[in-house]
Amino acid sequence: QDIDNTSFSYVGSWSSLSLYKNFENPFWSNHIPEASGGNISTNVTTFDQMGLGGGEVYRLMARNVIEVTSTVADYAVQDAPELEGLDMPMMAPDVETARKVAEAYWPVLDEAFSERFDGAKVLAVAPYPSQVVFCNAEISSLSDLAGKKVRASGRTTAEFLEALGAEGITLNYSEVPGALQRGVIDCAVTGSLSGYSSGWYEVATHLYPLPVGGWDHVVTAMNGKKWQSLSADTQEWLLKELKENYEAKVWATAVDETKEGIACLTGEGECSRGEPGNMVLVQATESDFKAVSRHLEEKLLPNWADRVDQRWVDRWNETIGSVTGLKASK
Amino acid sequence: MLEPITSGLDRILQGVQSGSLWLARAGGVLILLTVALVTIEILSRQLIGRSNLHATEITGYVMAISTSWAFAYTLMRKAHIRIDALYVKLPVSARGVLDLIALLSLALFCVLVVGAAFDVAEHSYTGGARANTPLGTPVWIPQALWLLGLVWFSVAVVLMSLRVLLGLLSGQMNDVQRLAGSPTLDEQIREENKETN
Amino acid sequence: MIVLTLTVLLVLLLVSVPVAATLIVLGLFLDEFFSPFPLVNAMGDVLWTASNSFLLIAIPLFILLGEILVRTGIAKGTYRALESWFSWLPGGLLHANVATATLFSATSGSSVATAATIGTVAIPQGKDLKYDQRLFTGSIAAGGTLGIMIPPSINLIVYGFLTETSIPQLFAAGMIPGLLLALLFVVGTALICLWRPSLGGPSTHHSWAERFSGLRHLVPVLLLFGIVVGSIYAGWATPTEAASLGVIGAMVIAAAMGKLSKSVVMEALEGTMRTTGMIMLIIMASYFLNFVLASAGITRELTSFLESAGLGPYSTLLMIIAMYIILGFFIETLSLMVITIPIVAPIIISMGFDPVWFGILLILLIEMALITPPVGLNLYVVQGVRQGGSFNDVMVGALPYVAMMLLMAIALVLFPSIALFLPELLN
Ligand code: NA
Ligand code: NA
Repeated sequence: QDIDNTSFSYVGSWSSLSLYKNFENPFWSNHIPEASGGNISTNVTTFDQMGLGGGEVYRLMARNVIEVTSTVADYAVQDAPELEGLDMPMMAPDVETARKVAEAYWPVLDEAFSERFDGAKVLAVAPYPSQVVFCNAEISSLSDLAGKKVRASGRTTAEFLEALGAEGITLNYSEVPGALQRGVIDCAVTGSLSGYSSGWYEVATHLYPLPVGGWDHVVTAMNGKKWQSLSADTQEWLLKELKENYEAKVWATAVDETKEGIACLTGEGECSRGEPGNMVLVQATESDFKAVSRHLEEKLLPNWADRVDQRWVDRWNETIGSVTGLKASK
Repeated sequence: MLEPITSGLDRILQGVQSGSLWLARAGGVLILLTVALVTIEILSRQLIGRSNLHATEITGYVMAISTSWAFAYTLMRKAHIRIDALYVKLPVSARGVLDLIALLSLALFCVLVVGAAFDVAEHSYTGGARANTPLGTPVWIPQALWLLGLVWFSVAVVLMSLRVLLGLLSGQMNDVQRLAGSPTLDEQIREENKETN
Repeated sequence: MIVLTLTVLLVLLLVSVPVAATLIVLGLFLDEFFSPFPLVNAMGDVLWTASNSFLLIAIPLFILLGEILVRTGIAKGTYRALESWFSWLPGGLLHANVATATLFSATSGSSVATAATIGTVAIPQGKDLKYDQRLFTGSIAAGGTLGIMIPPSINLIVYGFLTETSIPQLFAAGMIPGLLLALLFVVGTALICLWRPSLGGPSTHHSWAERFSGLRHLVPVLLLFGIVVGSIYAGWATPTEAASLGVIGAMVIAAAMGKLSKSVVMEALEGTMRTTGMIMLIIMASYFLNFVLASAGITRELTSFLESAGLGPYSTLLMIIAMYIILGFFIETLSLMVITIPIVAPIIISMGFDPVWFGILLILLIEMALITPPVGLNLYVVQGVRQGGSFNDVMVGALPYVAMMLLMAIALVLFPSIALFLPELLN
């Protein structure tokens, strides 16, 4: 196979999180140059190291400042509300469903990227660990969040919490652990393992282990001109490499990490990362799921449908709708 | 020959000066309002367990807007930092040239920044971008207010540069020093006047 | 590339091009010659992200808090009271500068704001009493840096955020090193003034009656400390929200003392906007420069440099300290933290160093960067406040304090418990 002689300048997601450290960085810094037999050289950094917030990187890619970039799709919904459809609260309760959803929606994302970001090409969709709920207050089901002060980022999560009757609080992420500990807020949403590594189990007592904050999918995309400049062989090779050596690995790890995150936080199960915490694990009930479907179909999906054109709603129903059995309409 | 132009410019600059002061004051008032907003948020959270004011998001916008509104005032007060270790050792005419270079470099700064800020605000406006927050602010609004401060700053810089250039051409070194010179020299001049008085 | 960059930077600064414009021009220069991408296209987004910042609002808020204290005469009362306790030491008022800075640091999370407050109160006194301007202004610039070591501290919040370290623990860890550093400043200043009395001023003696009666002037600031830090630990407010409570508190205290008027508030606002405008223009420009440096691969070079060296823990630590001292000359401190912490902290922590301890060491290095020329925000602030005199004075005057900070850094490395004692006690 002939691989082009070229270079990629890659801007990755949060440098402090394991997705970048364990997957993005090794893949782009080492794997691509090696697997291409030295034909492709790379330059790797992250948006936070560039002083960016993460929401602007696709726009900068469209303006030819960045060649390849990954960021949380939710950060960029300002520019492309179509991306919001990928990740709704508790729409995909487990990793397998989340992966099916991401695979089904991929072609739609690709189209949206191409339209919104000047011909950009989607290369990969990978999840962060599911965004679960930590409470420093007693809860026994999802409905107990009603009346609680919950810190969440992102519009859809906030709408979901509102539908549950919880008080959505906007706080800077850096201030969450202190705010939880001292009762400024009752609950907060973050990834289970990152909650463990930043010691949230010391300041919170109850864990609701389902993705109330969704999966915060990280989408990797390439500048349109750059993509067009690659030979068909190289394009095919690159997509295959990403699928096998990046995406598949991240999804596989997501299964383990979700399990291990819960084990480490609650002490129920194997925790290889250190002393486990002893948070109370709250079980999701059938009525939780019923309530979720109702809120999604009655409130969140119609709100989202109002923000995008009808054809994207149709495409959503054909793809994610058929995977999850949910229906979106204006 | 340049006299009518310079005195006309001086009058305009006086207007710009007081405009800058008022814009900075308005920025200050925005900051005071944020203080009130955050305090109300803290109190309502403590007392009635609710906080619906979205202070985090609004505070960010206020930060951007009020600082851009302060730039021109900072310029008028000669508070944008220049390192004058070499400057103060140079003869008067050379200092005037450096003052002009300083202003022109700020003008270059402004041209770039205003152009870039305009693109950002325009892109948000035409794309209908809304913040991904519960508030869903149309981001062009804070961006346009931010841009306003930057444009005003540019106007001030350009007029000052023009005035300093004319001052240099007609040899009015005192005017140049008064408008754009390093504050170090103002101080020395004041000291000397004190001694001769 | 590095040599050329530094040359351009120094030449522009030397011909007295404003610092903010220098940084932007430098960014454009690097973009033009070293980057394959039109980075200038990103300027608008970078500047908007930099300006639209929830964390940075703490800077004008803490400055405003200080301005209110200054304009209502509360700060002057505090300064006088501390002077009566400390100015018998060789060096006179210099010790009042450091002591006041230490006290205000406990209400302010920003070094720049602390330096601006102390500078506004102290500089007129220093001029009236004909102090040598160098050490006088230097002690203010250096004392002001304590603002980010003694809690609350914006920079510790940023570190905690980037490294996922507990912020209350970091705050607790900063307390003792902050006070020790203040003590070191006092001892160091006294020694310098014993050696060269002309650098300080006359030691003045006050009666014990005078000293004790002056203590009441400390009440407003101690109250404010209670409001700002108390509200954080009581769980009412987050550290950034506490700054707002501090402003309200200062206004209420001033009003209760009958010193608040419309003109005072207006003057305080004008002063705040002038200083904020100065700082933010530089910070905005430095964000763009940071973006260009990161795009040009400086972060990658840094990482590979640190990793390929393959040194032991303490050699690596030494190299990192040296790197911060050098980068600290030229890069604005918040940007410096954002560029480097994601690279450096994981390496250091994987070598077995404590993240809380490293946070404190790093803050010390950042304090140093605030007062080293040519790019040192605290130097600029003090120069801006005094409105006259050569920048050289401040630059030279701060150097002895840089040396004292180095001593403190050595002490922190040799005795990590200086930082870790208090957080461990609280756990
Ligand atoms: Na402080
Ligand atoms: Na420095």
